[in-house]
Amino acid sequence: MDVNADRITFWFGCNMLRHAEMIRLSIILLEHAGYDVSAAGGPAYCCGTAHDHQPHGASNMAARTVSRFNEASQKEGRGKVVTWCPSCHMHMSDIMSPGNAAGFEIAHITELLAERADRLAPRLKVPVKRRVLLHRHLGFATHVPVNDRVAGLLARIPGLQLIDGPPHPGHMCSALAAVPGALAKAARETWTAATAGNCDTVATIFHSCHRELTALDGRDNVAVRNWVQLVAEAMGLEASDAYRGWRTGGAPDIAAIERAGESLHHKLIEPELRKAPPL
Amino acid sequence: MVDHIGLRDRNPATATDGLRRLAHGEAGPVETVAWVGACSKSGQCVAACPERARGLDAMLLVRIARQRAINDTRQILAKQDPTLFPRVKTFARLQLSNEELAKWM
Repeated sequence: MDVNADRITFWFGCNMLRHAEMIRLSIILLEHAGYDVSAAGGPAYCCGTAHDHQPHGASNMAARTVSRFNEASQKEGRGKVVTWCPSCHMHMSDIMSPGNAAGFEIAHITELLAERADRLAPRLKVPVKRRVLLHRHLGFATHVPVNDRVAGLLARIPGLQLIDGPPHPGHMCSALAAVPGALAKAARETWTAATAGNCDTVATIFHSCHRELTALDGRDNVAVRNWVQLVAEAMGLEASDAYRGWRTGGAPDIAAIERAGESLHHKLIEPELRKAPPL
Repeated sequence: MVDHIGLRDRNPATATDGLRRLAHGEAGPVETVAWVGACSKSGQCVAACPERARGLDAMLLVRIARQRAINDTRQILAKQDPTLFPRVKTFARLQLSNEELAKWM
């Protein structure tokens, strides 16, 4: 099948599986921008970074994932793989793609939406009366100017006031977790800037930042929202956030826990949800 | 980040020379190991590198050195989390419909 520029694979990565609503909203936004979207993620589409301690295993995973995307390009005409996760994007650009004969382009979701912001703008009808501090990292700018792209999209939302937050090291918060004190410092600087700037909302760009900061939702009357949730709000779309509810004291409903497996929920999910907030 | 890992007053030449050694699979000095171990992919080294004009991508070199330190010289302990994939799969089953699980994963 011939490659069609509007047919894409949205590769959301592994850790986004904590945030199903954000995956769904991303797909909706891409569709509103005119793309035919096929989504893929999870361990079956691993980029390999999680297995860097096993170079052979990581290499096999990368090759398998590239091969799946090559197949989507050849059979379905999906010649562009659109990322969410900066770690997946950087690994694909720098290591997976050069080493595995990739037959597709790679782009970040914010690039596609920014290119077609004029198509999205008429849908941004609901005023979002929030004073928003954008939580920013420096790292991914080597590949995609993501802070500018997100700021540009949020600036189109009626009623929303946007303030740039202090720039932090790393490409997202998870990159700071291994450096003693670095994650807490980033969270503290973001939160201090938000309260000092009289903001009522902190906007996250990436999932790992959202995972950390959402535990602070409501503190000092500051809410935590991801950028896709703010865009969705402006479109009048449902922008719920189960993970935020769970991280701030709620729990999944019993039917969902039974479906996922009670012992797995107890062993793997609860410790993460009950972890101390970064501040 | 230098303050977080105690590199503020260390010799930068030693740290950068160690990058070359590590990238070749030789053991690097403690300064380099601390640097590559704490790399958070900020990319600020790319612009700061005096060899950039000659085509050197400092961040890529740091990432390669880090891989060597994990896999070859064993100077950095590998981060292993055997619960990562089971955990994200469990999160997925908590939230995704059967159709989404079948189509996306």
